[in-house]
Amino acid sequence: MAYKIIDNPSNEQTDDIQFWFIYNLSEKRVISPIKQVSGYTSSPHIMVIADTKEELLIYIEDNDLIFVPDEE
Amino acid sequence: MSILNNANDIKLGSNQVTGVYVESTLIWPTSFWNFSAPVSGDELTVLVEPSAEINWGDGNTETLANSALTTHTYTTGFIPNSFNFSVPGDVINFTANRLQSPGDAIFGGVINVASLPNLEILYVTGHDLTNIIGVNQATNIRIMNVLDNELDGNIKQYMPPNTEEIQIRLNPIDEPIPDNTLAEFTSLRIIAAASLSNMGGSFPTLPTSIEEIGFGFCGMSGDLPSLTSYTNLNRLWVYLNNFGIPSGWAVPASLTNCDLSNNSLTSTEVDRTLIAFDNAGASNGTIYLGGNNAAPTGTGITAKNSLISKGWTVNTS
Repeated sequence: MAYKIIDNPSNEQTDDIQFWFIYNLSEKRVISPIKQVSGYTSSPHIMVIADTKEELLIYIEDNDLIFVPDEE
Repeated sequence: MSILNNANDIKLGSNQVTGVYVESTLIWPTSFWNFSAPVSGDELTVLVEPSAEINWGDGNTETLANSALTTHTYTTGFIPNSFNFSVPGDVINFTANRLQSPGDAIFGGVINVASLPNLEILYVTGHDLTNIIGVNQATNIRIMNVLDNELDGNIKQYMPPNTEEIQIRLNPIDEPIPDNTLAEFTSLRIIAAASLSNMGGSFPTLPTSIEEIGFGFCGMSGDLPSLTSYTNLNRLWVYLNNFGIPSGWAVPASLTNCDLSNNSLTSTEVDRTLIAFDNAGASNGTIYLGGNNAAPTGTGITAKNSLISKGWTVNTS
């Protein structure tokens, strides 16, 4: 199980297979649902990337993050 | 207030109870809920507000604490097809159950909300609910959560006149919104209608009360209208459609969470989007424009950098 954790990502590239989300470290709050969207992402927050959604859900649970359920 | 006041008011039978949540006064319309035989299983979990006494249907009664999940074990291995609450409450919540009928029969439910004149919240998720009738008479319903059922037709036919929130995603809705407007629902704050891939149509006119819009993966197309009149709008999730962004498109400063990814937007449209959000002047928002959209160019890149400097999370191709 491998996460990629990027603090303050600047044009961090993801492909259309990877799953990722952004969370606010100080509030320990996921600021939007887990995404599987390719592109380049910049943020003042923490970006977590993994190969599966399940890995991210485990990360969220292990780190006691406040999770925003997605719409899927 | 009278809720489930006799043993025939609610029956659990050949169905999977995965989400029945009813608030406010209820007289259960058994003729419309086709529960029948006892279900296989040895426990049932219920939450009530306020405290109420339940007759579990097997001769046992129990006082349920306010807002606490209570599980009853049936020694026979079957849950009776009826039970009752002897003390009326405001909320009866069966969502914690995962019951399976012996024959795996389906629910096939139709709810007549016209017979529930005081109902404020209808929460029926993960069933095979096929219709909700009498919605125009259900003037007290504020919240409709009917996600993941078998509702077809159009969204509007399931919206009582005073709806504040409707969760209707993951249903086989197969018609666009009639007249392309929901403006008459003047209390509407939240519409969550994602994954209605056969709905189609264009972006509807909404009431100015709207705060959250969810039309992701709805087969929708056409240009998005200016959103500046929606001054309470804070979330716009319209990913995986085929919307366009017209010249001069504008958004309110309240809108700080937007997902327009995978709309096959051109670079010009992506640029217009980024400029619209930058011009609105808000800080600390989130915008998704990646996926099959084109990459921003020129003034779009400038706007993207401006948003990032204002604390936005920005995703683009």
